[in-house]
Amino acid sequence: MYLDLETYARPASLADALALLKAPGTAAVAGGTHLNVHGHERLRAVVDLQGLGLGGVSEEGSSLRVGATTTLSELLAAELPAGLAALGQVADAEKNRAVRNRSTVGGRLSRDRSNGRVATVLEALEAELEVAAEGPEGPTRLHLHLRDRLHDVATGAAAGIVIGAWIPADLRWSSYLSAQLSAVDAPTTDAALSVGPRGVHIATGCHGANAAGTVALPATSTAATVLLADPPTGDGWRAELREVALSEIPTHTDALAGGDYRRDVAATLVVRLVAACLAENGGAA
Amino acid sequence: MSTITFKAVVNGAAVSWEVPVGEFLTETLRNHGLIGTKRGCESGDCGACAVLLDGVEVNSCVLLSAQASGHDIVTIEGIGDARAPHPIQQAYVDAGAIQCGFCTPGMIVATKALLEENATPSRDDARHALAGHLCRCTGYVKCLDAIELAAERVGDATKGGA
Repeated sequence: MYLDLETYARPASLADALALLKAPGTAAVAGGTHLNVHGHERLRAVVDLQGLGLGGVSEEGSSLRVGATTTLSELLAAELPAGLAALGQVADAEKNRAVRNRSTVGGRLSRDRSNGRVATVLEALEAELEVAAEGPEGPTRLHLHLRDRLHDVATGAAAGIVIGAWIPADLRWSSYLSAQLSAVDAPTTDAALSVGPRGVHIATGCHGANAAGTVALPATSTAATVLLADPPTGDGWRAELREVALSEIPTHTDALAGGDYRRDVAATLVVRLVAACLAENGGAA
Repeated sequence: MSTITFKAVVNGAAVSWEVPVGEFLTETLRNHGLIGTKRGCESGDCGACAVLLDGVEVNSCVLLSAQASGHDIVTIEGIGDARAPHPIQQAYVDAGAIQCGFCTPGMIVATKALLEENATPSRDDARHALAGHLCRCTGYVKCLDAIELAAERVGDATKGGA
């Protein structure tokens, strides 16, 4: 199996990488686990990021920085703050170890809307992305909202190279759940939740070609924040929260799942996450 | 067709091969006689093409040879052969974990990676290690038995050699 590539480059600096990426038909590659999966017929050159030293997980000030070429295996092995447990859970959710060993955080954010998992968790964890872009005096580092970058990726407008994700280290609790046909399939849908000083943040992934991709659920997050501040008795809250979630989870039908089914599963995951959060953090918000 | 010079250590030997820029590692290995690495799904889902890259299990069908250049690669041939099988390979034979055998090289590579990381894997650890390996024949139970047997034998061999 071949790609019809004319050139391969492994630059040693961000400036060189950004310059190489200006050529038409050129893509950056990190782990490369999807090079042979999606149609790359028009790809003529790849710029391999492995020589740029963009990997690693570190605490920097009040944030956790996850380098773009950190693999899911490295993320799983990293010592993460207790409040960021969802990061380890999302890495563990990729059960194919050979994929986990190569698939990178930055790569997962640079694909189309069939992407999942990492984007869902980072959205719930209030992450910002650090992107290197060409400036008049060499590479410039920008901080972007995750959803803006995902939108740019989905519309083909993404420029520059994702070099890391910055996640607030003051989050107290987080968790991730996914639903998938088998252990090695991409999730049909998934959901993540974090709780911290800025309240509850919930995100879900509506995956598949032409799907909405990763979306935040602001109304559900607000409702969950209220529940956490004043923990309910009984189970009535589940149906009420479920209705709120269903009202803002997008639908997407494809060969794998119907839209209503997918939305229903996502709402179930959200309710389960909030229930787990209440059990561990009720009254803490 | 544009080519690159692929320089790597393959099964302990330094190699320098001219390969097409867009060629994936499975093809490169097979074109150089290492046909134990199987061409399966070619999308990173089935595990038949698994090799060790710097000691880590990867799917060679979704890894450009150019990306693997400069690294250390171990294929099934580098683990052992019919005349001198590795204890893992012998365990797969003895456990009856092979039927058509197409997936077996990838599973043995996965088992090698697992035992390097965890010498005493639980049944669940073994299941997780094989999660990316599809087999239409065995039903996996004997493969899990083989991993348990291999762990015992590799452990015994390590103790014996100490």
